[in-house]
Amino acid sequence: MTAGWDEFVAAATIGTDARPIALTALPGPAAEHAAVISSDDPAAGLLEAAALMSSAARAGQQLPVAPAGRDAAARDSAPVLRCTAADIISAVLADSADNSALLEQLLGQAAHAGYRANPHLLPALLDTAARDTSLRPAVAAVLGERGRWLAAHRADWSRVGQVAPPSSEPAEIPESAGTESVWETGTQAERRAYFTALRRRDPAQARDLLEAAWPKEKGDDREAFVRSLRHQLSADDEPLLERALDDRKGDVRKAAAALLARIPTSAWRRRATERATRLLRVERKALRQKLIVTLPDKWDDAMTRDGLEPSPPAGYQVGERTWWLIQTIAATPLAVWTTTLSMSPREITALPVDGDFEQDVRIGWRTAAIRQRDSEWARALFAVRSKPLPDYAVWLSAHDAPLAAVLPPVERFTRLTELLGKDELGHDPAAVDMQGLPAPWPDAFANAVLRWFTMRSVAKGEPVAAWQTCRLAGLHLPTGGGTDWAAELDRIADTVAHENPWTRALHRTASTVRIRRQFLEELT
Amino acid sequence: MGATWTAEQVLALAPDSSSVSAAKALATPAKWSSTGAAESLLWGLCQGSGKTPYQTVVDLGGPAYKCSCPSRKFPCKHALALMLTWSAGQVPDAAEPADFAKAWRDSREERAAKPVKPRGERDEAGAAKRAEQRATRVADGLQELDRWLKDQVRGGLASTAQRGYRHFDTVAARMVDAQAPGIAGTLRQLASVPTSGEGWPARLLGEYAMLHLLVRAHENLPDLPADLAAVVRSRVGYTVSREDVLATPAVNDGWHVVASRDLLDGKIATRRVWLAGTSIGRFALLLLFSPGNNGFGGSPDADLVPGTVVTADLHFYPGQQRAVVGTRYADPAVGGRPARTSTIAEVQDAYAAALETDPWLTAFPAVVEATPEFISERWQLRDEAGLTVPLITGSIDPWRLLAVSGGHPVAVAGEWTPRGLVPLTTWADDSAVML
Repeated sequence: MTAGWDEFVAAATIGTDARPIALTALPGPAAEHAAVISSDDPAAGLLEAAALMSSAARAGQQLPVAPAGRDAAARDSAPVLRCTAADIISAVLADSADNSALLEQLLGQAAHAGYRANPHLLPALLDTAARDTSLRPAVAAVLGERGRWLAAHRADWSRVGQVAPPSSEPAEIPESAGTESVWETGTQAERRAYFTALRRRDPAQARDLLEAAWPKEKGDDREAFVRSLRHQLSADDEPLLERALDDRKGDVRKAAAALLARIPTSAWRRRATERATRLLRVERKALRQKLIVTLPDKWDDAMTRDGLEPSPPAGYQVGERTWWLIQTIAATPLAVWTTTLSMSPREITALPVDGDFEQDVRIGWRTAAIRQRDSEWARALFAVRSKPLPDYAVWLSAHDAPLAAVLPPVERFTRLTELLGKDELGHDPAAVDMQGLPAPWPDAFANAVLRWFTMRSVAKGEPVAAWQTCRLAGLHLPTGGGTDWAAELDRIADTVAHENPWTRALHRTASTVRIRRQFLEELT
Repeated sequence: MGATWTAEQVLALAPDSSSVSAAKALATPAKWSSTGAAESLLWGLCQGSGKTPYQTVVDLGGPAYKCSCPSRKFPCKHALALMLTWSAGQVPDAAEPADFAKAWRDSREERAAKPVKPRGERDEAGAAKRAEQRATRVADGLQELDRWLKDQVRGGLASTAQRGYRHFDTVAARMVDAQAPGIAGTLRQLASVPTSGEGWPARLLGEYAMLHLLVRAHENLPDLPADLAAVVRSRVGYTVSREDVLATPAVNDGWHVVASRDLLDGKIATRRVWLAGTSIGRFALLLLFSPGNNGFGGSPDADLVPGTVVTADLHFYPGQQRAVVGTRYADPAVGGRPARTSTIAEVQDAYAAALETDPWLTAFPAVVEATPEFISERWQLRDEAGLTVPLITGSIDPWRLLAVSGGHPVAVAGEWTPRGLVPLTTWADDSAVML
């Protein structure tokens, strides 16, 4: 509107009683019709003039012309999801419950099958990934050109667009990792991603890069880079890692020690072997063998340097020297024992231990087996487990979970099936030990889980549902094969007496399995 | 007499909250005389401000009410007060109803027993008298409105910001009483203008000016062209019956549902469904109502969602785009992209032309082929000619629109307003995406 309109607005705001306005010439097309305005009543006159001007403005609106803004998105080659699959993703996103694990699974399957997300799903996916960093790789994998173009419009979305999707070609540096300049000027995450990718492709160059930059790096970064050296680890890395043992930050030393442990020819390994042989030896007396323990008398700096801690953590009730014993055993490569004692892991773990040290030695071996992911030692340690008391069983199972995770999947499933059958995993097994199992579960294990559900929900009538186990079952029960697990779950739910948390939990689990099956069908 | 009702049951019949408080104030035995209850009737005399007390009768069977007070509400505060008093056990039982109560009941029964005369034989004189009464009420109400408008301008709009919603609700209620509900609705919408941000006095002045224009138009109703007169009557709030609309000529086509928008006015939710003719280059508007905002599932047109096409007869309200669906010839099918899209300039021209018949039009259907852009924190559409229009994004998600467009031109259906376009639907390939 022209200046005339502003005057009218001002007059109306103050009020014609306070400041009457002279209704002289009206601006624009309104002027032609000024005759219709009442002249006797200033308020009416103002309203009528305003009506003329408003109508003129509405009908004669001038809109600005502008040149094109950004470039359009590049073309996508990957196809979008079919209608039903897109609707499933939409529904999962809209459901207020925490569905991030399910979404991650579905998006992963979609990406694996070569699909990208439909454009109308992108804003919701980007919003979810911006809030929940664990979903970023999965969402990044289905963005496509359109998604990356869209993400670039907003600061909170652009971080999602830059995450490297889980790539099947580890030797390739993902485009988002950038070039050498990233090493100089990138963010912490970008530099770490670049270093890992470089290490995979050219381990020597990565080592040289780290060696050059070592004095300037911050503690956290030093630790992360040392960890990255685990890719393509070789004896050539020993000098750098030995140097890292002199680092003032404990975590850096530990990370370096963990890697040196994996280099069979390293000096660290020799030192560990020496300490080990001083600690434990086998005594043979009259056909009976016994493991004799000699506690270390004193702490020396070499031990700190090699990644050990001189004092036990707060609350850990153990003598200082016993703590050194446990630690040293925990840090020693397990192969050292089989070599120095000339026995198999089974034989070693079966040995009676002199004095009161059996539990401490076992803890040491156990920690070593977990750190070194040694399934043979894990098996051996489980074999000597004495029969636990019933109420001790659950605690023990929780305690055993990290060790069991080292076993090969088949043995893990067997062990869990047995424990579920004996109901020794407490009221929510997934909370105690079921993480990291390969998925989808084999039919035999699925059966065991459903039998356990029946036992708990129907036979025992437990008032508290095993929510975590239900959740995990929803995500990992097989969707293919002969059995309709969703229907089975619904059947169990319907058999539960009275309205019970189990009813809802099991129905929800069933619907998750159903969603996964429908989605997979839509991808083929 | 059967079991008495509880006070809650009585008050549930009240037409509005002011009746509730007024009834409670009158529900004391002191105000009533000659009360009684018999044969499902309640009656009594209530002392008002005048000399003669009001006669009130309630038939609990209906329930139905009669009162000699001048209120137009049903039930009026006296009927409510009488029922409250009875509910509290303070109305004595009688052997038989009082004469005036019996007379009213008998005449009601007589009327109910008579067969309903077909439309054409209705008492023409009676209908004309009612119409005249209404016209008088409306005219009086509009005069009152005009005085109020002029008062606002005389006293200055500046003080409106402090007065709050009551400022508009009071005059809106007066318009409801004057049987001008259309104007009442407009006034209630104005309540949010003073808090709508910078430049609100200009917007408010514009709205007041257009209301004043409506008053002036209504004064000159007999001299207006037919279409404009129909628009004026509709905006004031005269209703046209569905039967009358269905009697207008049918317009048959494959009607493509291009957009849908839900709005809330008080407790009533309204859904605006925009249709575009696939052969005929014309738009139509369906209005669905949901009193109490209980969703639209009960409406027979609830299946007309954006993206569907229905072959049907539409009957238009005189002079307007509003229509009702007559005969449907097939179930709604999935449609593709809209048959026809416009440039921004074409929509502007169409809007300007529409304003000739309806200067108060602020929601005009548009299907534009354009590219959405987000520049300097503002949303706009830019068509091939380079013309840009701001997008109004308060109730929709513009990012979905941008995602579907990917920087390329897309078809966007929405409502064109003087301040910009409200985008409601877009199309990804051939499927409709609601925003």
